[in-house]
Amino acid sequence: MKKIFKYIALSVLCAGVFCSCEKFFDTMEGDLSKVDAESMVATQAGLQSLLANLYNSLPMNAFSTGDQNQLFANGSRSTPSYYSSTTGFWNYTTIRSINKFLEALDSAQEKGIIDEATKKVYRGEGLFLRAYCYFCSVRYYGGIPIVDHSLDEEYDGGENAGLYVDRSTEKESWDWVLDQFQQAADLLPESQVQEMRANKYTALGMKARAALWAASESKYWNRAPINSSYNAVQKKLTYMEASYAGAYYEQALTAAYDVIRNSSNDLYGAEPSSVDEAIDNMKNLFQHYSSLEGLFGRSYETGDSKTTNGVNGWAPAQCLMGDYTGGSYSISLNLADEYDYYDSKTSRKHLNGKIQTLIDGDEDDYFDDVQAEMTDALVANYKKYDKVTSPFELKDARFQAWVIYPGCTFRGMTINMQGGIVDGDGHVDVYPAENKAKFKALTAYYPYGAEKQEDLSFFYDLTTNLNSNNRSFYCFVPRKYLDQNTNNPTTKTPWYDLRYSEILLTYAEAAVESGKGDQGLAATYLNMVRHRAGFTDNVPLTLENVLHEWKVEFALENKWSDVLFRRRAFYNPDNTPTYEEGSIGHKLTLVPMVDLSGAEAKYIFLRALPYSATSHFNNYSGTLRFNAEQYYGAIPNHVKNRIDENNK
Amino acid sequence: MRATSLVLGILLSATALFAQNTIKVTGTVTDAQKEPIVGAAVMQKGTSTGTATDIDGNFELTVPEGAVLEFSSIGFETQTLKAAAKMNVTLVEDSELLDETVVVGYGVQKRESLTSSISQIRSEDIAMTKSPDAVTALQGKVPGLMITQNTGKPGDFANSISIRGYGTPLVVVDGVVRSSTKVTRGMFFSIMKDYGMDVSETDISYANDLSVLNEINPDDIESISVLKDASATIYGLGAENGVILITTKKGQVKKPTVNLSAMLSLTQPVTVRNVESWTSFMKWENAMSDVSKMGHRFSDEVIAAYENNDPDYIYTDWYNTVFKKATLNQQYNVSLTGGTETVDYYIGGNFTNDNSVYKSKSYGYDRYSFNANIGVRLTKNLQARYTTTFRQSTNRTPGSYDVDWNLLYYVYSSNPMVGVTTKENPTHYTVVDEEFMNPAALLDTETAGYYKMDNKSFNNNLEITYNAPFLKGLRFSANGAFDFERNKSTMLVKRYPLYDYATDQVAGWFREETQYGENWSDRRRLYGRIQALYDNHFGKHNVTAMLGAELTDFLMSSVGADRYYGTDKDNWLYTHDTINSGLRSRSENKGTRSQDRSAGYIGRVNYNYAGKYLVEVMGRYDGSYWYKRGKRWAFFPSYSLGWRISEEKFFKSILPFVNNLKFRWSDGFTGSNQGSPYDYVTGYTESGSWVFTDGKTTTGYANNTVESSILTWAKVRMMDFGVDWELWQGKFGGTFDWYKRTVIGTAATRTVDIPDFYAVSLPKENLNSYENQGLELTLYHRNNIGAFNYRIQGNVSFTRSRNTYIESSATQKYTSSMNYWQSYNLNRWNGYFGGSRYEWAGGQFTSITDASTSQVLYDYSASGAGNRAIVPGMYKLIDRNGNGYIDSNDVFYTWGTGSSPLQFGLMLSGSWKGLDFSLMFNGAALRYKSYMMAGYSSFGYLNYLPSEYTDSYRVANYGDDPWDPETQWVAGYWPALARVTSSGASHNATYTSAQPYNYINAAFLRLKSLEVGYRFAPNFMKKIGIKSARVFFNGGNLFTICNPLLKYIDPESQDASSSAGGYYQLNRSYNFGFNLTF
Repeated sequence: MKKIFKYIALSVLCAGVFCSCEKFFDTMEGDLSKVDAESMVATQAGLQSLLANLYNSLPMNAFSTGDQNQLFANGSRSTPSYYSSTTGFWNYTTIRSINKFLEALDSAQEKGIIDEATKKVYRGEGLFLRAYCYFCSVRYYGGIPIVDHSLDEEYDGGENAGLYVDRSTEKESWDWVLDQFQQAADLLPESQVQEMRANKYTALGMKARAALWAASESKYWNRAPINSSYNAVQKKLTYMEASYAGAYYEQALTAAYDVIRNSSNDLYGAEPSSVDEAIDNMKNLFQHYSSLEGLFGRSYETGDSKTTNGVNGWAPAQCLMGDYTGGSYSISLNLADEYDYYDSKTSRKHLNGKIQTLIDGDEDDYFDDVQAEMTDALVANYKKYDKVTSPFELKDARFQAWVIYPGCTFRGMTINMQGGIVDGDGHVDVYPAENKAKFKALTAYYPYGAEKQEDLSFFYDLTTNLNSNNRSFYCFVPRKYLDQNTNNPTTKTPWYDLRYSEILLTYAEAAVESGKGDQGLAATYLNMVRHRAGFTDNVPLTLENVLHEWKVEFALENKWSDVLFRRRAFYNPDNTPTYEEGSIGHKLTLVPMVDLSGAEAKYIFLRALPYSATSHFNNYSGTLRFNAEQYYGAIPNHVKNRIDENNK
Repeated sequence: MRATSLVLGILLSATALFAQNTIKVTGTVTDAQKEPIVGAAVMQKGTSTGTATDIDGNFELTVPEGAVLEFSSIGFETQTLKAAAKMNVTLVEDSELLDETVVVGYGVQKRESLTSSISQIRSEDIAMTKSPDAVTALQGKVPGLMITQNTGKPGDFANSISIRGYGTPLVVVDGVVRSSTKVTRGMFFSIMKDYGMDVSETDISYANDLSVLNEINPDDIESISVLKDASATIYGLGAENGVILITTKKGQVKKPTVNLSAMLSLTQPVTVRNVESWTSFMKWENAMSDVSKMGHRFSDEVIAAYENNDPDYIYTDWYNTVFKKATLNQQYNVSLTGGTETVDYYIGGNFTNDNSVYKSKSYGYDRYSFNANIGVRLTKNLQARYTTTFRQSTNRTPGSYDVDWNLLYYVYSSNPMVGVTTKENPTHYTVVDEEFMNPAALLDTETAGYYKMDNKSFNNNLEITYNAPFLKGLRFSANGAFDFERNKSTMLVKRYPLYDYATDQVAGWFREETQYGENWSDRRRLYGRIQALYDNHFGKHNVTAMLGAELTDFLMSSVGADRYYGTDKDNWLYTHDTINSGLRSRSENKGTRSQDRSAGYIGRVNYNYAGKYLVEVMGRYDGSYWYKRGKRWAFFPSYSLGWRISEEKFFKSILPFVNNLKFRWSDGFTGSNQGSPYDYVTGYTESGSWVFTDGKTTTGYANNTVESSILTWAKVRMMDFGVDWELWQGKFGGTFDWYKRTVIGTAATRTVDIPDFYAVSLPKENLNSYENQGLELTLYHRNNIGAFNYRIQGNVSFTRSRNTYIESSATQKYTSSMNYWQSYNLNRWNGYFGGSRYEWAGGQFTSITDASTSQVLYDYSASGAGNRAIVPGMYKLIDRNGNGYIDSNDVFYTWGTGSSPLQFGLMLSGSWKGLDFSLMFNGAALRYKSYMMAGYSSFGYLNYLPSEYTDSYRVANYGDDPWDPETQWVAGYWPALARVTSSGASHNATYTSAQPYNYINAAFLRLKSLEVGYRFAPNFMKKIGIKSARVFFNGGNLFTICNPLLKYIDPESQDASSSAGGYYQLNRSYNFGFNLTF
């Protein structure tokens, strides 16, 4: 028996040599999908990678379709909607990442990875990114808990007192955000080597935007006052007052002026010599990022052949490839009406943009159910246009460059969007079930504008095939971000988060609202934006003119919802007359028709509610009221976070 | 008894030594068929004197007079006879289970001395089911091994395998763990990601890969053991779900024997949907439209035209355009086996070809495999054994991934009024639906492309055993394995035009761009083990001991590339399917590498006293690299006890016919890895990206975690109480087991309230726990009536599990008792807790009036308020909470739709002279299947109506308005059918899947296989040089007993749970083959 144990002991010894426990595992490659903390900040490239994640986490809402929810545009197959698309930012994970990044800079400098000057730039960017995030928080939640350092060390498994941060008042929060933008601006260089990184004027531009927001909110808080007995109002967590406004307008003016005066930015294609040049400029601006116009934005030129910004599905049905669904973003007639006309291509003075459809000029009238209500007798009252494009030919260059309208040329093809026919006997047929040709002087005219289904973008087959893809029930779609030339499913056009024209309008609005700043300069700035669009005349500096310019210059850039939000100007019938700016009519479309009743084929245009898959002819459902309390979002997890809830 | 004779033998031989009177014994050892047995041992009992029979079964031995001789050979019952000068011995085949040796972890044991729950199945039983993979061949044959066949797709082998419901087991082939714990993310998943589908990469990476079970040639398998209880713990971490041990065939000491077998199989789907004829369908469709208040799809003229066979109206039977009635598969095996005392060998080759029932080459599976096992006795005490396997398999599926998932859907969504190709051009495929999915084009590899997976694996195993000459019963062995596997997948997805049937004009394009991709992955396993084994007895004390150490190093790397051929609408060119042929500017590539290691020390001691009292103690010191230093290594002990009461004297006198009755108890610990490897490292991982300058993307990195430094494996305890019995020398026998497994400390995050500002999720800890419990019963009977031998074996397994701790917030609020029931299942048995279906109150609404006057509201949504949209035939439901309407709070518990907790199998086999037969049944119960009446490819949207739906409430006269209260109805099983506007949509509350008529008991009993064979008379065959020849017919999945509604939707497969007949169905097969032995 002893022998047995001897041999067993021997083999155990062998086994021991064979495998030396921990070392066997320590020598493994490890997890190759992770990079350890030390190597991550050991090089500048590593710091850049951290920065890339931080920029990517910004609540920029690029290409969000928020504008669809406003007056202007609509999802193609749904009932019109009306609500704010301004959202809050409540992502302390991103805040932690930014704080950790800022905290890593000191040690990176100590280790000699970056020098003092580089650290200054990185710190400036960190502060900018953090202020950007908190700006998006304050505007929606009011006073917020400001976490300005990472709390990793504060978790103790017990009371965790160090993890709880209380809300600052709304005014303190705004002041902190503005101060942080200013600190960032002081650290950042005049320009960055890489154009998609924030520089001094990005920070100042953002400061101007935030200051205008704080100022507008202060001035107009009382348009939508919330119950003063609420705890959050008592504690001034959701409270601003008119007396704050002046100082904020001044900050906006100063910051905007600094950018306009000192930055190398300018309007892209300022003072064009013709309408056509203006149209080209306005198209080109959105094809490739212009670092002249853009102070901040996001590029989709990734170097990867497949990633895209995802807007190609907005294109009309004729442009779609494979199994994509298009026409998913429509523009209403209401927006088309906003764009002014030139009096002529040469003198280029502005005229009211309402599209003239009727001889009696009653353009406030429209059809609820165009198919049933449009009668043969009514045809006589319609203005007859020679071409389907005639009503749009003298429209603002921005409309022609940014909107696809009936009969326009896009990617080398004519976009057909027609909804019916008046035949030789003067008989009207709107949305006919069959696309049967009628003849005039041996030329075939189709109710829907062309014979083959693949040559049609809208209206066809509405009543029988509601689920058919690629249908919109409006006759306008966005062109702004689409590839202008080829059917390319990998559209990579950029997103401008902050454009030079916004700085100009910010100055103009702050000046007209506060009476401060240089009023003459403000008028010039407002007209600079108009001139860039091809107009030659000047309009006076009025609030109405400034707001009109916000609508037309930034259509489809999700700005209008923000304007209404900060000005507390959403539609609110209980609160007359302050809802002026946010007042809405029904979202309408034009229904272009070919008219064969006269000697030659002409075109008439009907104003109508669009057909809808869900409710036959579209109309609003539900109430359109935007309550005062909706200006402050519910605080996420307020019980768990031990902070005050809003509207309570 | 045995011990007594042993002692007797020693005494006798001692006597013999003194007597010195010797005799020379000569003779032959043969089997029952009078075939000589080569290499049978002839030993003088109690001594080491002995010899082995030669190639003709002859032997010669000189022994003392009066000696007792023991004749033994593997697979035969040992015979003990008194020595005589001339001895012709016939050994009886060892069908006796008791003496059988059983492969256990790191060794073999005699069945009689087993103290654990281990089931073993031999090659003959495996071969009873004919299938290209070993998993299907195991189904229903091993108690506690639960297998569900999910699909009949060639080469897919998507079977669910679990031992006792525990989860995916470890697979050990010839002593080496060959199921990888880590799997590369397949190309398939990257495609899904490309198409924007949500795929969690971590889930895929750590799935257990059992592909070895699918790829191994069932014909090369000698035996399969299933370790179901604490006996599995000897394999350490990862063995918590039990272990499947596969032993491949070895050489035998006998004349070289060639075995040749060939088999041809005809396969067809088990479930073929019976659908209404086109003219009947059109009328049904219109009637359904009436119910939905939609316009008719077919005018009376069109219907009349088809009824009158108007030649202007064509009809395409898409199902038969795509499907064959049956397909032909082949399987060939050849093996050479033989050996002498010094060298033995087994060499096997196999070719398997498995085709699909589609009229297309786009699906298919081919495999070539080669297996060799060579043993060499180098010196008297030194032996070496080399095992090698080379396998090559090719698996083809269509290039377009969506075909694979939805082919039946596309078959039925295709418009039958349109031809497969255009009127004028038979090479122009037509547009048949809105999605441009022409099924015939999709399956045409020339047109649509292909997906091909090519797998080559090369496994090598070398074992060297040294019998220590200085100590009886001591052996050392060293075992090394080197496995290499290369997987190459290629995919071509082509862009192609589809034409308008009538005009022959291009009407649309399938796919936006042609794409070609390749993915190569390598896997390499190095394995080493050293062992010391001791086996001896001292009087009645029998001792075996084993001590060893092992380690594995597994490397996986992959690289893949894709190129596209251009998106320009008219201007693009496809040339060849090579990466270089695609556009350089439209290319992508990817590559990964990962490593996996394991190591452990193993020790085991078995002791038994006189074969009566059995004890086994074992332990394993095991490590896992997943955790932080200091949390990696642990010792896992196990023990088991057995008492063979039948060996007790008193028992033998009372119940002499009981030749075995054993009670067993086993109890042991092991660990289950938790979380994912390296959770303890707080690393940065890729997170988003930013373009700082046009054209240059910087990948972002983020770290939003804190290290899981206290996480370690979960503690698993496995317990088993079992009884084995056998009566009348094996005529009747059985086994019963009760088992329980507890798993304590599965990974979870503590649910304490932490404010958002901390912004890091808390680390994972070992918090939750659960347990499994179950019962197993096996009964067998064997006998012979004259020349008719037969055997019956049946087994039943029942298993269930429940959570015994769930980390949840103390402040968690449940809104109702139903909410509590549905969302919190602590201490409740899984599979039966789910509140998942409405309960039938009995009766159906017989009319519109009946529904609209009901006191209970079924549809209370804003759009369909009240019961105005409820159709006649809708089942009346119980409003459990009595609030006046039916909603999710009224659902009631029932057995689930997951895997069956109760599974059973029955094997019958017998032989009479040359004739043999076998039958294998498999079944499961306590499971429901959702019929998905409103399912994805059910009725109401597509161009077909399954005939079973015609048994529905329907208007008495075609064309009657279903919404007129005066309309007369004809009753049926289903509610009135309604047309819907999109696939999978339901008309209203009536057709949701949780309705009682949709919930169908999926209990079934299926004849998995039936085999009839005939062996030709050996004498006649011998004249033409053939030792034996056998022909057979084998049928697979021949019939199934189940609820008649499941005739069309298989009760076993996953078919229908989501796609109602859209899945690749199980196959029925008719196999013809022969075996020849030379």
